[in-house]
Amino acid sequence: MKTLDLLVTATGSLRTNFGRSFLTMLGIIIGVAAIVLVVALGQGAQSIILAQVQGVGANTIVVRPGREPEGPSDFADTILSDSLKKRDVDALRQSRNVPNVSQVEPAVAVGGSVAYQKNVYRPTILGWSGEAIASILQIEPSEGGFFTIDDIRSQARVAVIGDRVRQELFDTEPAVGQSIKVKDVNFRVVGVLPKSGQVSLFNPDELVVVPYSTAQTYLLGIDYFHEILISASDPTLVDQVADDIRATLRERHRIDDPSKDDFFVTTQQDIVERLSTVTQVLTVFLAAIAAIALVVGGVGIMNIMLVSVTERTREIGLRKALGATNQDVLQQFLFEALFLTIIGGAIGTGIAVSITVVVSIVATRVFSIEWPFALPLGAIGLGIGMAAVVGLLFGLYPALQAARKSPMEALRSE
Amino acid sequence: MAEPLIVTRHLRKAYVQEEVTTHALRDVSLKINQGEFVAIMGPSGSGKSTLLHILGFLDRPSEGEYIFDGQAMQQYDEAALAVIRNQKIGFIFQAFNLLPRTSVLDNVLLPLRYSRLPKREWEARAQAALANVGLSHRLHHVPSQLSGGEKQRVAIARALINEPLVIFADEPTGNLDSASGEIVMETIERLHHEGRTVVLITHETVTAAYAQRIIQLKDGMIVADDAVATARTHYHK
Repeated sequence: MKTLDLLVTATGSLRTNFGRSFLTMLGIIIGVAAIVLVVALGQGAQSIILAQVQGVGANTIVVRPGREPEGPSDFADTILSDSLKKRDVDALRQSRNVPNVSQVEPAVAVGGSVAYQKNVYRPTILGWSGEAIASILQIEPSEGGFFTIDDIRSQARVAVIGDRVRQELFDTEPAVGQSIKVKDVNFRVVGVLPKSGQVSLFNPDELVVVPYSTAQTYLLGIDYFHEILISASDPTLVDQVADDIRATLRERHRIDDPSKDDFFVTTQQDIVERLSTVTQVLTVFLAAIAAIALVVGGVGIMNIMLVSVTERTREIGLRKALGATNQDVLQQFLFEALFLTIIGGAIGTGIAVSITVVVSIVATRVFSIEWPFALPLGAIGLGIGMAAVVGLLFGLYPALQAARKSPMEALRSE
Repeated sequence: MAEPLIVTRHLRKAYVQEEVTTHALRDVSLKINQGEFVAIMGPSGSGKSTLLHILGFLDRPSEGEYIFDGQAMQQYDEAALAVIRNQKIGFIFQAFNLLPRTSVLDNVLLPLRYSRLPKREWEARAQAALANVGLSHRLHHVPSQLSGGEKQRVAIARALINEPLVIFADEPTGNLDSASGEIVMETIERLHHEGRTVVLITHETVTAAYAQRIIQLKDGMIVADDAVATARTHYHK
């Protein structure tokens, strides 16, 4: 029989049992919808996370002391390592060592709280430079200004605070010019950052930024840095700059064997790749769980097809008596199973895509998360494709049962 | 005279069911010529249905030879048998066996769906077959809207559509009242007069009387094979 005839036959026999066909299809609809939804939402979430990370700037390179963390002890190593010093920063700033660099900014992280009169708050305290805030966080103080290179040189006790910190300490009072205590050391507020919300991995609202030299001396009592942020002059040069950084630091630290590095370099690309891997693994894992629903749906298809084959034994006998070959009968029943699952798959995909649209609208309007809706073509193909595979797999056994019936026995059955 | 259409030699058929062997056919040898109208009669359990199933290529004999249209059955595989059933044989069943919720036209077309006949010829063939049984006005009805006699005439049209060499009718009047049965039998008789070979199975003498020749079967063996001497009196055409 031709495909069109098969289609006509299949729609006919499904229409005669519409209620039953629909209930059977429901298993496939739910299974496919679950898979497509997980994959589509996973892709959306991934693109959001990546957009956030890339907000830091595609040309940013981070150098941290210690080994690249591969386990908890390595993290401790990173925190305790003192391998990155002022002279390393100076060396990296030399363009004959590392060309194509626009900025080299060291940073230290300080744990602790800040206080103004009786108000105490626990912000994120960074020893940084005004230039680093401006270029990396893309933000300028709304009141006052940044501290200067002179402030860094003279280890001035000055601070720029985020909007949330300002609110917690000063409420509506003016903050600029006031003296606050950072870990019991007096600092003068010179600038307040505007309310900005999460930018990439930082939340500027939660920041207290002081000159890194001041933080080293007064707050930490150390002479090394926790990280050095380096901006390549062009995103395409990032890998080359990273190589130059490694070469410079190895030479300075007298390291011949790269596996013995006492620092590690992370580029934006590394972070993006690592996060992509994480979200992809999560998506696959969730989709695999959703696939269980599809398998259950497939068993439902097999069950109903077996019932259908038994009920229609006489019809099978008749068709064979009139000249249908085993293959014709096999095709007919296989096509019916396929038809059921593909229609179910299409409906399930439609539902999943609709939910994705709603999620993107709600995320954008209500939670003001940038969630651009993109038709997940891959997920649609996956959904309908998997439904077809389920139809073939679970339809095959009933179809074989139908094809193997002897025409005489089939005609005799009541 | 030309080669007979149907020749069987020492056909045997045994069924084994739960270790009990039933001998449905014991030793059946017969010949049916092109254009004959033969009735096979016998009580239930005489093996007449088994014989018809073998003659109609729905089943294979346990032993013996069956030569149809000059070809021995043994040489055909399942797919080849399906082709023969499709192109050379028309079936009429006691229970009509029309597809429910399917129009008269589509029911009649069903054999063509398994044939190689070009689609543009389908409609004309179906029209002709339905006209032949006087049901041209019922094309788009479904079987549940038809009377029993009409259903059986649709089945006859379906049997005719492939222009078969032989029509096998298995108790065609078994589910019909006598008036409808008479119309169906007259239709079959007319087909015979138009030159078709008909093999009829029945246990009713009245129905068998339409045939030219009656083969009596009992316990899987032929006990009588007689030409009907006198033409039926109530055939007026």
